[in-house]
Amino acid sequence: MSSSNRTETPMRDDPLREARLAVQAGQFREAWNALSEVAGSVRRTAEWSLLAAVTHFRLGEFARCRAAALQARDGFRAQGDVDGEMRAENTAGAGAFALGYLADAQQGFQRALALAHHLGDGFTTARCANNLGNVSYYLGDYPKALSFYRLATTSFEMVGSWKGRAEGWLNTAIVWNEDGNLEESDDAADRAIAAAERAGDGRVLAQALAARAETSVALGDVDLARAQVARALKISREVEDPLAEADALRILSKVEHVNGEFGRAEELARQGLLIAQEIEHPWAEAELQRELGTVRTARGRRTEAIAAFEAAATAFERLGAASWAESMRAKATELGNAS
Amino acid sequence: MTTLSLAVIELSDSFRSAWQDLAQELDVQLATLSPQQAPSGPETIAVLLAAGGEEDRALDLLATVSRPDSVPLYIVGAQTSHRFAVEAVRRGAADYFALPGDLNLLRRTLSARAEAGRQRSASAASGPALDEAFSELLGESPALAQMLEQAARVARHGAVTVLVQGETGTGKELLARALHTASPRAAGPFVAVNCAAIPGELMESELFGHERGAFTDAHASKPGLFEEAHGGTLFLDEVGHLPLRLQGKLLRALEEHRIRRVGATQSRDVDVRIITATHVNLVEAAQDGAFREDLFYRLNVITLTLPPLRDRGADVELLAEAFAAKLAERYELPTPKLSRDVRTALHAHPWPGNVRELRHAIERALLLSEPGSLDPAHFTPQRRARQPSGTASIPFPATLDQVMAAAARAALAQHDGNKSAAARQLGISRARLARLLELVED
Repeated sequence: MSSSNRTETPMRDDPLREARLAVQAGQFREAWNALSEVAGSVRRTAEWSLLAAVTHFRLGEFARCRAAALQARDGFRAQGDVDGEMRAENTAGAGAFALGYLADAQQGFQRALALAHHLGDGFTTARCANNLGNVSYYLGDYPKALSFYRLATTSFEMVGSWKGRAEGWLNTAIVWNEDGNLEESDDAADRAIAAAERAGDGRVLAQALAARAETSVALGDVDLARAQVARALKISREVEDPLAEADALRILSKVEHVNGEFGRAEELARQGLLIAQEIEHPWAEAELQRELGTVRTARGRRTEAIAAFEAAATAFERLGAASWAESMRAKATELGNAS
Repeated sequence: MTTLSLAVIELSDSFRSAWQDLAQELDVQLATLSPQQAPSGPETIAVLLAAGGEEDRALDLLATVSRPDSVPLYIVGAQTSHRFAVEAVRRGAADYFALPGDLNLLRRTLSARAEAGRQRSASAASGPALDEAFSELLGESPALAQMLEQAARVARHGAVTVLVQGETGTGKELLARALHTASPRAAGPFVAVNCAAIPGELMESELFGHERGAFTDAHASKPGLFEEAHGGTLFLDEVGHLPLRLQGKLLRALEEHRIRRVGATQSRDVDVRIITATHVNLVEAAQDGAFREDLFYRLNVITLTLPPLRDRGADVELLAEAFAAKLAERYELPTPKLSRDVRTALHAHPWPGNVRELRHAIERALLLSEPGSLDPAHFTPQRRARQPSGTASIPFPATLDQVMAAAARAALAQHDGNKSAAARQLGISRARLARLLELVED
């Protein structure tokens, strides 16, 4: 699912200025070094803890991120700094989400959402709602996911973020598609495309085009789906976005599968999987393993299909998406029993 | 009223007290900036480079002062030399004022800027021009033009409830959004929701929000649609699907402008314009007891009916051309011209899915025809087997489980795999439907 972030402008007399600048520049190792070098008194501040949490998150150290964010939250709360508390809750939620602790993530995001709403912070409201939508989607609660994505999309619209709107509509389209409501999915993906075009965001544009192709293939219109996903694949490569490319390859694999080209479908899913593994994106990896399992089943290669479904289940489990993992295990068991 | 500001960069102390007096007279905020600082915050009417005694330095700084192109920079100094004024303007200043002699001239100039700023704000607050708001609703047919004329009259009244009627795909949400954009509420949120797509058991919490602990799953409080739309417009599509017990609550919210979250003890004020839409006949629904008559009359203050595409004559060609041009750009293809065959095909088809169906047909034909052309044969797809696969027969003799499973499967197929809609049709929960479908797989 798509998500978005923001950064803050450092002040000149800020002792954490160097660390903030490094975070803004995407240099997280340097940010951590800068944070390690500040005076002990500064290191005990909530602001330091929050910045450390953000840095840990970007370095993939999710448990440390969560611990630092919770420390920051308590510090801000003691100071009565509601804005800081909100940012820390959101970051703690993000850490929990990455660790697959969906219940904790949900609580953190919900508290952050309530604070953002109280402060009238439209951008954070939008981000928290989007994150809560992702949690609900992973938990298989589609109505709730759709509700949060709608709140996210409306809030992004209010703060003038076309990119945020595009992500909100894209996520909506994905949920509708998974729920089998293809017309709504197609409509939402179309809105995502229009918003991504306005935002000039190639990644979301490619993913939204791929989402429309997924709807077309589910409707049985293979020719249209192929043309749509070809465009998505081209854009994803132009903007050099591996996640969008992996997504487009997964859907192209689906197209070839429905078209009866099983060998080609498997090859495309495998290509996508390699990319997903390279960028260490477990959700994309899980979805591609699922696709691989489905196409191998169609080819009658049950043992390899079972392995793919098991791998998909493991990847979903890592994200805390229990119902998704369960359904993959069920498929593997079903195949095992049949052979 | 929107706040305006006057930015001053002080290179010297001369005339310092004049800036505050000027700001007060003009009813604008005074913002003192350093030479490196760009104006921010409220709309800036002008930047004054206050250079009394430092005129040469002001000339050197001119090129480095950052400000939006639309904000003029004036140098204010003590030199009365005409040559200096010419040089200042030559280097990029909008004008030069020598104080105290030019004080009235400066006052008039700034006053005009402030007035223009206020007019811009007022214009933005009252919404954009009607033409712009309704520009997405393309068409020149009398049927559409008549409806748009009525819509334009309604749009300016930000509190009037509007009921939009029309077949599926006619653009009901587009019209609702245009009404919002052209209304004094344009700066507020536009929240659109399809009542048919929300499970009945969640509808109340969706519309009115809930407090923490209101029900098992309510771990935190959440605002509902009314609160989301506060200050703006709430568009309730397929309002006919609203459960009867909630219709009363909606009516109260409309009449009292107050809502109460599920589980809350206090009501909250809400300022929301409601636009509803439906493709069903609400009069009949009211007669059948499926829709509250009093709510119908409350929603039906103004009714706008979008004509179906088949009644819009040549609009079908106009729309097809517009879609072809836009989509060709999206897919980086040459824009096709509509051939005689295409035009004939466009008029021959009844377009039951209306504008949405037309748009899909054009997209499909554009992508599958030779670049730069549209082949009407590609307007509709030759569909392959769909995912998920369709229904299967019931064995005989069948167990009750098998019969229920077959009903679940049939409903799912009828609703294109939409589990929520299938569950609604069968009068069971999604979870129950899922269990029945598992029986199928067993």
